[in-house]
Amino acid sequence: MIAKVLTEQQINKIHQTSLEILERIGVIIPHDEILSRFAERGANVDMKDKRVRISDDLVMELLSKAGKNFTFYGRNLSKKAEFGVGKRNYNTSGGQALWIDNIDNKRRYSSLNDVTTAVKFADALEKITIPGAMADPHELPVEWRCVAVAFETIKNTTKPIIFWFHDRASAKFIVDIIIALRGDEKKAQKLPMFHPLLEPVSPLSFPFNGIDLLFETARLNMPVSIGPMAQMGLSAPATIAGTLAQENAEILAGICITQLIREGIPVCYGGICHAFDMKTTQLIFSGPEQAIFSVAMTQMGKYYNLPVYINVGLTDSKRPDAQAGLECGLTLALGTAAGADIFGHMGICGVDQASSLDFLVMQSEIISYVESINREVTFEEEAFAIDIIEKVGPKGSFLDKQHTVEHFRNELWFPTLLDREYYDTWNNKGASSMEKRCRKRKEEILATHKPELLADDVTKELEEIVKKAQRNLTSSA
Amino acid sequence: MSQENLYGEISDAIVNLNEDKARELANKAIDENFNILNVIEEGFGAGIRRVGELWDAGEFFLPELMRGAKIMQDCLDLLIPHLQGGIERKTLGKVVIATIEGDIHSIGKTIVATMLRAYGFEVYDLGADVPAEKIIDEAIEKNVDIIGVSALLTTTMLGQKKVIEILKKKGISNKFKVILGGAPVTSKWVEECGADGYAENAVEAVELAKSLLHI
Repeated sequence: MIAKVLTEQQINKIHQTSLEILERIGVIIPHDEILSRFAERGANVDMKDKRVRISDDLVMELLSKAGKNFTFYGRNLSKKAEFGVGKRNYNTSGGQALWIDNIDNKRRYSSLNDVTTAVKFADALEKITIPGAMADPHELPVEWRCVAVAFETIKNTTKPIIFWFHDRASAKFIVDIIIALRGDEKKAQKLPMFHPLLEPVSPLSFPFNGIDLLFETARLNMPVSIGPMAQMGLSAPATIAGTLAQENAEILAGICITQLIREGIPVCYGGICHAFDMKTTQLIFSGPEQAIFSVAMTQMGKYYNLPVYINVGLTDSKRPDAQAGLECGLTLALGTAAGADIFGHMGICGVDQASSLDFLVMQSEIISYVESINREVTFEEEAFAIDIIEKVGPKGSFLDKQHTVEHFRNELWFPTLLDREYYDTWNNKGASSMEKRCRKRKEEILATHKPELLADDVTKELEEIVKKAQRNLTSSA
Repeated sequence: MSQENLYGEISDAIVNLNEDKARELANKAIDENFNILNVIEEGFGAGIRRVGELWDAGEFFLPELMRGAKIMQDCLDLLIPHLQGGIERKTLGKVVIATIEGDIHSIGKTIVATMLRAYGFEVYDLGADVPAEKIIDEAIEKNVDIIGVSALLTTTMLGQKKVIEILKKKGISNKFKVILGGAPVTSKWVEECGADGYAENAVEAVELAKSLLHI
């Protein structure tokens, strides 16, 4: 299945416009070391305003240096997430401020316990290749929170992971964690397990900490995703074309920054611009514009031969209901068909309004469905089965044929949660809704799944690093 | 043109989001030495209230609301230096507003500032990445009624609490109403911080500010 919205000419026009934005208007980078490095490479830097205007030659040169594929490895090295090689990956949320235990309950602030629950849960979900922390523990001090979250996430899954980095000081301890886990620095570099996200603040500016912490992760040549959430009409022009060009410019500027820190750092192109709702006055996670943005951004990222991450499979709904199914399903189907490398983040209720495992269960089913849409259909001679058609002849049935027995399991997708029952059977079984089935499945997984434990000596070693982070990073205030 | 006719035309220019016309009428009011205070209140004020009504009715969307407020603000900047006889424009109250230290997300905060201004508050917008101490110093210096603190990140929202803690430490927390906003902020957080109010969006923020000052 292939989805496209841009012609080659339109891709080129967006590319050229982005380069013009970077050269004529430039970006704000509140980081003097990076500004100096831009200046050394001949960029037009205003140190006072922290503004850099980058020529198209420099953009293209730095872009050419960026690593264009990479693989994350879990604790279990056979659990991989490959980027830039035509594979599809799915991650759960890196962390939300709020948490919903059950859909009918009110949301509450997240805790470290929620990280444990969420990661164990995603460890059980076959389609989730990268479990995220899903919760941003409210009770932990910000200074070392992400170190504790990293450890808790590693402890509860054997897959690669995602969580939010905070700043350079805490990133140092996170680097120590992966080195301890892998055995030495060389192995830690060869076998990355997670990576930071550099999130430009649209329009055309960057956060200090997001850049500064890359000086630590660059030690291991750790991949970096660059994903600005430009919002059409709010922090980007009110047009799809304008938003795409600005979003692309911001990503390219972010890639330049990574390559000035260390040439060759692999990058992931985060084309995650969104529409903005002029009525509710907040971002729209999953309107029709999201499908257009995501397919177009995938085309742009692939034009640069980069791995691509897009925000699809999401919903604005507060319940895993019909709206959620429509929004998650359609955007994910189109985003995957466009050929991006990773989709998500999964498990979010509404527009970053909380984490919810009920949503994650529903999305897991949608992923399975969409993966099936993206299958390679066989058109071999055997598949056409003309001999079988002849054998059955007019008015016959294919059910009892060997050809059918041999093929149907490969050609047919089986749901685990969607209802396809006869009416009376469905009714007699309790006439359940999708929401109810999601909840039931959630409770089953919570009750049964136990992830493979981390070895005791490694656990102790990592615990020490977290404690050290706590000691060193606790502010005196 | 009579002053009353002018009010109507100004109000229409704001509702029609016609910047050129609104400026032309503002300059005309200055040239013809009309009562500027009345021009502001009964012309521009009436216009922005109509814009607000269109928003409430679901006919106007955020860009129209913001555009109306922006045109009004630009015209007010023209008019205020011409207020006759040292008359000061009576505002609904004074507000100091900022995005907290460590956070450079300023758009939401700026929308709130614009809306508050449009509805008649005097607003001191300190920008983004502003330390709690500085917000409080400004609040004291400008003798404001309300302190508005925005945070978009779970890591920076703690700064909102710090503002209230410092106010308490200084023994001046009863002098100001503190309102909080931003994506991770909920009414529960406001309660936890001991702040006075929370609004989900800019329009609600205006209502909140009014109700806190019993307007």
